[in-house]
Amino acid sequence: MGLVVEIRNLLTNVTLQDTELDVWLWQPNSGDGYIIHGVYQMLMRQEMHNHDFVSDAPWHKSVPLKVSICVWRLLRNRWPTKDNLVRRGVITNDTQLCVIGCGKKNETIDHLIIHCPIFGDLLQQIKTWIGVFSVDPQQVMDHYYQFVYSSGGYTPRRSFLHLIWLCGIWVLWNERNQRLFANTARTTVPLLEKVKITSLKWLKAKNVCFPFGYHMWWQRPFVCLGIG
Amino acid sequence: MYLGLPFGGDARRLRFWDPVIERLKSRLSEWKSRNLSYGGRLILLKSVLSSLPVYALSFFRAPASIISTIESILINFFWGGREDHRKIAWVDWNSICMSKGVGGLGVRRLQEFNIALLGKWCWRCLVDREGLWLKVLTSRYGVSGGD
Repeated sequence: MGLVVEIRNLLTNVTLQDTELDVWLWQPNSGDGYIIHGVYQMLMRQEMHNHDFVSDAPWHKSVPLKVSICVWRLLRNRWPTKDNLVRRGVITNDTQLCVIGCGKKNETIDHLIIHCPIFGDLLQQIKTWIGVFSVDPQQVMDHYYQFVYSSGGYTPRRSFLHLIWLCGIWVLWNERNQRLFANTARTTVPLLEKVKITSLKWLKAKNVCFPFGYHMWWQRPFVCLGIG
Repeated sequence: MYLGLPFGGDARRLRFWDPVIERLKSRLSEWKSRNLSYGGRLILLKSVLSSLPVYALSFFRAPASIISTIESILINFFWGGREDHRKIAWVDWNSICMSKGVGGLGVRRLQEFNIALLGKWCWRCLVDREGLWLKVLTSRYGVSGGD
């Protein structure tokens, strides 16, 4: 009896037409029928209820994929910094000081990027180079937003700042590894040069008709991009 | 083997999947995990390694242990490990498998993809009534349950 009621309820809105042939419809997307990609997305959506953290910060079309993955790990605090290695029991508690030797500071991502005298200074120098001035926040994620969005601006400008930020992080991380494993140390001036040259290379690689040389780029990057 | 798939045999047995695992392992040599960057390994992982088993997965339901074997090979490769040497997996595989829009790297999950691929056959059973393969199946197993 319950079943009869149920089927009546289901059929109340159905009108039958002589001229139409019966077809099967795939309800999740009735237009195209069953599409494997769509069903996969649907199955994955059930998995995704616990995603904690979303950001578009790693992704930029002019930046190499390895850099994007590096930043993707940074934003999840999954760099092999010393505090993370201690937490995983790889190194002991008393060896987690920052590689620069800047006082008794543990090496965390916030320390490396914002508070460390060498690397923090590098990011300040970058700001001076491109002529952006803002107060530094205390956390990496805020640092990204401050750097890229604080000066307002329209999309090309933001895209450029985004690229520079990624470039700065990449140079910083490589320098940290150089210091730790190869025992070489560079000061902020050559590091800033490195940022300039790397960012110019990335831009040139994707824009074939990018006409500006090193000299102009050094002086006024915004003018080169036509967004001064 | 017939048309690239194991012929006969029981897809629920682990031995059945040996050729798939072997092909996957043969694609991974040590230099690839050592000399490629994370970006290079991600590309290789997404475009080659996770597509290799797709043909087999589109016909057979893989046992959970096969899925986890394949995924552990992929994970170990992505984080730069070798067959006899593991490395720390810094981010869990579930997060890596989410699409980029929700904060992952967009690697395909094999379990869900397997189900989605097999579902296509159910859909074809309903829509593609004239197919030869359907006639073969119905004459072998009969028609029941209203379809």
